[in-house]
Amino acid sequence: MRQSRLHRKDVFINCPFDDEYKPIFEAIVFAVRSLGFKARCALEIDDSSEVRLLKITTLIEQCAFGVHDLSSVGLSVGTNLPRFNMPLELGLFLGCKIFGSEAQRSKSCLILDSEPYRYRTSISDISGQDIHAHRGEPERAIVEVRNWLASASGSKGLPGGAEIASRYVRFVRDLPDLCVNMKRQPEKLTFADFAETVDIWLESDR
Amino acid sequence: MPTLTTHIIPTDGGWTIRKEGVVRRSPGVYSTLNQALEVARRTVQRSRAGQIVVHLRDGSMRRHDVHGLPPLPASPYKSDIGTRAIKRAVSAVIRERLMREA
Repeated sequence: MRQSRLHRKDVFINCPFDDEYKPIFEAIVFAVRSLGFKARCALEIDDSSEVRLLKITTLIEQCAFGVHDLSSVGLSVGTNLPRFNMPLELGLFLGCKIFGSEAQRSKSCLILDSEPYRYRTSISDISGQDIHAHRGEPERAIVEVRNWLASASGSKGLPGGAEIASRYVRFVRDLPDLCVNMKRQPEKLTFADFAETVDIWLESDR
Repeated sequence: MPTLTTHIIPTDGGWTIRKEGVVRRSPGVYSTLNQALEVARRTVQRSRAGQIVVHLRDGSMRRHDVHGLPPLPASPYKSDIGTRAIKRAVSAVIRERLMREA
């Protein structure tokens, strides 16, 4: 069986990618980059010929850290069904950590939800994991990610959560003008567009 | 909250120095970039951590005197917008914002 190397600076982001959730997703990417880590997610997978699950498992295997957001466990309006992708990918991450090699066992993850303690009724088996609520607020998600990643990675001298959050507010204010200058519509930015823009903006706003 | 970055921005009459979160009543205008850099350096080097970002007239930007800041690895992401185009956009927006705030 092939094995990928564990990347100590890579953070797997497992969350919904729909418009409603976008502010939280973008805030998490911004926080991860502000801390000098690499945000990775299923949006990297654009080759439809590749088996999606295989690509996701490779991503999970490579990432030393994972942020899993279970906000979408509620029923979707259109289908009246919950979204299962996030719990599935959290299960893969935990399985990798439990059954994987010694390196894989050093993985660490943060589980987020929009509401505190909701997981107790929907996915009670994860009780005892590091679970935090962002209440749908990007700034709160940033603080949660920062505090967890600083502690899990043991990194010193990282900017504080409030500092990253205030920078994020400035970035969000700049984003429409950045898009005008880049001749892109904000809602059409790809993950690579967004992440590289964050990186270059962060270089000049420290 | 003031940031640790000092910006040098081109104006009609030369170059001016700006810092996010710091409003000066009458910011100086320096006729050459070297003069502005020298003045900015005096402030930046006194601080525990900081950097100078020079916004050049062609729309590009350069970082100088980076010290005491956690290292920022080169972006691993490659957008098809192009790194140079993103840098120009970032420089234009930051310049505009800082001049508006002053």
